[in-house]
Amino acid sequence: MDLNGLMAIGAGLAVGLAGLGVGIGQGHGTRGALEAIGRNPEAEGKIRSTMLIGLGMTESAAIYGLLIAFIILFVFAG
Amino acid sequence: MNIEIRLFGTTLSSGFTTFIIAIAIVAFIMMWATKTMKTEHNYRITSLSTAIIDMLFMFIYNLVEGIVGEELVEEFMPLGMSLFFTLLLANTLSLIGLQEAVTDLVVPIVLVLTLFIAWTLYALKKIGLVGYIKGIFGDAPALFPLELLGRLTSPLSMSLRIFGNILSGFVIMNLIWIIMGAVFASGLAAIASANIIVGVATLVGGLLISVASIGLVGYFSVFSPVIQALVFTSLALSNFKSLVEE
Repeated sequence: MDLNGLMAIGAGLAVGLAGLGVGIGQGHGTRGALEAIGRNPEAEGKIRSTMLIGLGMTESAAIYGLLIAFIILFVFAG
Repeated sequence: MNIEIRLFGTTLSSGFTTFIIAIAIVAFIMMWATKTMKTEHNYRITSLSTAIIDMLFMFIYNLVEGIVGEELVEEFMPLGMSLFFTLLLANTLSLIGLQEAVTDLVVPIVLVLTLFIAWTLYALKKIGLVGYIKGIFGDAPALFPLELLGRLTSPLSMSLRIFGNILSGFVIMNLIWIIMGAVFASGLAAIASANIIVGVATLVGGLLISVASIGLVGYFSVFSPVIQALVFTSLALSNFKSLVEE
């Protein structure tokens, strides 16, 4: 296996593993928000906007993986 | 679209140019709104555009109030307002063909470095050098390397977060444009070689893809910049608050 193949596998692993964790985390966050809305439907707007900001922050872990994949693919290999 | 400005012998990159355009637009709108709406103690709403500005102002006001508290909201309102709208505009100007500002790494890095200096100066002014050092050592002096590391990496993670989020949308949209171009080109080539049915089917498929990609444009060019601008503004303001609170 040559270096480019290893780089491709590394980039895929970086995105895949980061996405795995973030998927689980965002699911937990959304579940919490949904339970809160079910318990207290009047606060739906506030809960939703807080949830969106929280999900945006959680997402950044996956984005770091994506950045590493970009760096591997376009800086080292390109 | 690549726009480059030559200034004092150096060339500004296209993302940075978008950033400057966004700053100019936001500054112009803010100055116009101040001139039109300001009264002695409050502000007045006279037309539709001022009503829209009032709506946006109240949105940011509630956000800032939720982060820094009631007594500091007047102090941080200008920063929150200009930070949020500049970031929002700098990344949604891609809708008219400019490159997203933060896809140039220099823009988020410089933004966050400026904020870092502002955080430190604000904390030094409010609690003094002794208080700042006390804040680093805190109640667990043995853990001060972690606290120091946390203070230094929070700007790094902030800049990389907005950079990566917008860059990923930029890359994905470019991939989709490339695929659409290839689909249309192969459809036209099939028609040119008298293979009419295949060619028309390919063109219709390409048209369907382009209609479907409107949703993607909405997500990556409007929704994601709004969320990222909100997150960036909240983090920047909450850092001001948390440094002083120690």
